Amino acid sequence: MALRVLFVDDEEELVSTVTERLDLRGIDATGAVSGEEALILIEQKPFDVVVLDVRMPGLGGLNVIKRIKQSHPELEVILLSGHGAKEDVETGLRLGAFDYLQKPVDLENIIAILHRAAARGRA
Amino acid sequence: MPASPSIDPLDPTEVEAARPYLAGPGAARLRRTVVLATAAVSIVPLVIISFLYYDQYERSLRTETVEGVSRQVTNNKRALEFFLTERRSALSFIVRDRSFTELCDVERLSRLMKHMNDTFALGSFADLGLIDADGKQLCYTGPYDLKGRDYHDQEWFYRVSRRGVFISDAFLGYRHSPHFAIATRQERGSGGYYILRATINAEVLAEQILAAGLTPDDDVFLVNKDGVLQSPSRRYGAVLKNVPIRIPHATGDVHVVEQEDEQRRPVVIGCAQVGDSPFVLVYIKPHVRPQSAGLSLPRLLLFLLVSIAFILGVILWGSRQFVASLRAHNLKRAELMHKVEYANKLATIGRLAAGVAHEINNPLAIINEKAGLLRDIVDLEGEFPRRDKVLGIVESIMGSVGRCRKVTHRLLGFARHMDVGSETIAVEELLREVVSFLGKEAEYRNVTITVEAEPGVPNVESDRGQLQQVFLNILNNAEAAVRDGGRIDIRVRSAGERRVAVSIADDGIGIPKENLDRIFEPFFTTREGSGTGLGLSITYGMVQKLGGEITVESEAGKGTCFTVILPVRRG
Amino acid sequence: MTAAALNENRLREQDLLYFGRVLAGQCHELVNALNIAHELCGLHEDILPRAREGHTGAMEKLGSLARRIQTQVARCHAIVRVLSRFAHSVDEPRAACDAREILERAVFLAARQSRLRQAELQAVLPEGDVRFVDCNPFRLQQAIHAGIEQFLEGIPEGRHIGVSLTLDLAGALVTLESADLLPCKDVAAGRLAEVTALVQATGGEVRETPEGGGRLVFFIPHGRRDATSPASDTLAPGAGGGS
Repeated sequence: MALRVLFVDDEEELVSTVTERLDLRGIDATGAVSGEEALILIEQKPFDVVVLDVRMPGLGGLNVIKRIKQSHPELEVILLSGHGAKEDVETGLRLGAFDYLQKPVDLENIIAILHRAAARGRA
Repeated sequence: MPASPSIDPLDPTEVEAARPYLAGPGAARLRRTVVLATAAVSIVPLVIISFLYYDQYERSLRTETVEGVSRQVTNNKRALEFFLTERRSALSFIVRDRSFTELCDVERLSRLMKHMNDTFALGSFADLGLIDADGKQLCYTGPYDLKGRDYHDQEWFYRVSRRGVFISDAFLGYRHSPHFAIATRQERGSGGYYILRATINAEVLAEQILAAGLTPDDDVFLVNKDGVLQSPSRRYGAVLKNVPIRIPHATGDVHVVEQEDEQRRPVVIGCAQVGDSPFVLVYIKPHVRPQSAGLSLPRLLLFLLVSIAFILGVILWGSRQFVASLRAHNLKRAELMHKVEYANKLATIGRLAAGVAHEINNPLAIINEKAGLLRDIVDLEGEFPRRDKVLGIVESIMGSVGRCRKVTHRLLGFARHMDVGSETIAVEELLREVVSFLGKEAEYRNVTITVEAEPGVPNVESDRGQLQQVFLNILNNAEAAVRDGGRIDIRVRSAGERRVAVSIADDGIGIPKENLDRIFEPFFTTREGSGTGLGLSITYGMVQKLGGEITVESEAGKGTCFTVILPVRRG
Repeated sequence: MTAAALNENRLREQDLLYFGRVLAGQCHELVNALNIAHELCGLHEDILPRAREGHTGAMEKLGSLARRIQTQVARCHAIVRVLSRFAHSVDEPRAACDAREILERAVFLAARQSRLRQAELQAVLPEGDVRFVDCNPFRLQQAIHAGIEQFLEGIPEGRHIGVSLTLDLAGALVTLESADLLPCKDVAAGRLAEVTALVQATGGEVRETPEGGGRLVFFIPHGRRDATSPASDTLAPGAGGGS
């Protein structure tokens, strides 16, 4: 079964490009441009992994992690961080994120981590 | 975006170190030191010298007085002795020259006395008498009626009979003015003798001889061995009074002593025995005090007081000006340093930002062109034959994107550390970062820059931004110093237990030996008309603040090497 | 140190921090755009084989991707342009500043923060003949930016903030207001102090403050030289004018 991934970042272009690329590689990728949208989508569809930008306007990445872990504890979260968001990443990891990736992300890297996270989630 | 960090511009330890010249207590302490030191150095010698001078003056006055008295006594003694000798000789001559018979003739005797008075200066023979061996006055000329008088039981008669010549003490006798007598004995052919006796007016003696050249405060008189006045004394009164002070023991030599008179006033007393007479010449001079010369001790003290007050006034005023101006100067300097340090920093990042913008435009333009080309290819060509070309274009775009990213990250790396902090820093990595800040300029000029680190150099706990600024400053200097095609070698190594040394060596124009000591001085610059000369001094200050040290070695024409030593742990 | 000197020091430190902050923020934006361009290229590479194989729409897709790359590049260009102007704004302590440009720049540079607070930032540019204000461009921009930050921090998310600037012969009047006229929270008091310090350093005055739920209005007059400015003591002698 294809991996179901939710990609969340406030840069719309980035979201659409990455999800399209993931699609081309056989991953069922959906995009969201805000934390709120992400939470709505999580309720609507099942996902295996969520990739989450740590710094977003509105409901920031950390709050989303908290909510996800409350409502869907088995859902693994991977953090995406830009330059210098070290503390946020640490907090996110403490809140239960599986791992983190620094932007810019090599697609092969993302895919590898996605599979690892999904494997953990299923276990 | 996080809220702006709290701004605390002044490092408290820095303020503390500058406190002596900034705030009240420190400035007051400095002023106190200056005032005390200057006052001590100027007032103490003044007081010492003043008192020394006073003392010296007193001494020299005293010496002068003593010598003066000695002189006076000598002169007077001589004059007196001469006078007496003259008179004595006259009598001797008469008594030898004239016969006894002649001398018995009163008219002759009178004539003789008159001649003597006419001849001798000062006259002063009051009477003349001839006395036989029994003491009877045989002949007499003079103001009184003394013929037939009998002196045989008088001491003077006894004396002259024995001695042959005699000078008497002063006496009033039948008269009421002081006289003294000179008597001389003459042998008779028949075995007896007779005596010729003259009475001398003692007052004349005193007035004419002794009083000559006497200064108003002085006194000169004659006494006998019992301290009875033989001549009138200004101090002690008329003849035959007792002199109340103790006369020092007199000899034929002049004897001068300093002692107190009967009223406990200090005087100088000179005395001498007048030869062949019962007289002692006494000269009394009051001690000349500096007062009389206008210099009294109270006056001296007043002078000192006024001088000291004046000196202190000037010192206090001067020191206040001095400390105030020192303080103002230090304040200005601190402010200037701060200002310039700030401008330095801003100039650096401004330049960097502008440089980045400049550098990024090229790759951006490339991306744009290529992407445009891509569109053209894709839009215009129906089929898709040139896959390789398209791929090539895309790869080139990605390459340019990568370049842009690098440049941007570099700028970000610098911009993010504008505030003071402390973190663990890998020195080699930081140096490479800073080298990249130099950007394209070094590359265009073919300047080779190498960065090498010894293995195992520890990381350093420090402020990244400051460290970047320090090395950037040094590197900028190095870059300016080298020619095109030159090189700059950067080495990182351990320097002892807890220290790391970074050396930046260039093969540029170098620094002449005479300037080497001064290059870290503020405002020192060898570049004509460019720069404030503050760059290296700021760098020096920054290194100090980071707990390290910076040294330089250089040879004109060969190159320069700056070495920065940093502690692994701060504080 | 004298109070005046301390104040000047503070302002200078603030200048540096502001500069760094803005620079860092814009660098992030640049990197974001570049990352996207990178991804687009990657996607392009992914699509390429399909286009070759003649899949429908693949060619159009490639073209569209190329366009999208250009859009990101244009975005970078805009940022770099503004950054460059910004970097040069510290060169002179006083200049005839194009007020429009400064306002636009301040709003542009604050866009990132506004986006994070989901606020809508709108600039109302001055009209009329008078376009220039003779003042310290860096400080003016900093003041406007700090004012914007005050509103961003002081009002709830998702609101509208308007910044307008009017010019007359006396100087520039800057007005910031949130459309809802919400009261500004105390947490923004620090920002107000920053704005006040900056405005006063240029010889101007703050005329209205937004605590009670009003506007932030400050005035910067023409022609006063700011002695504490960034470049009032440049490294090259003879340039600028130090006090």
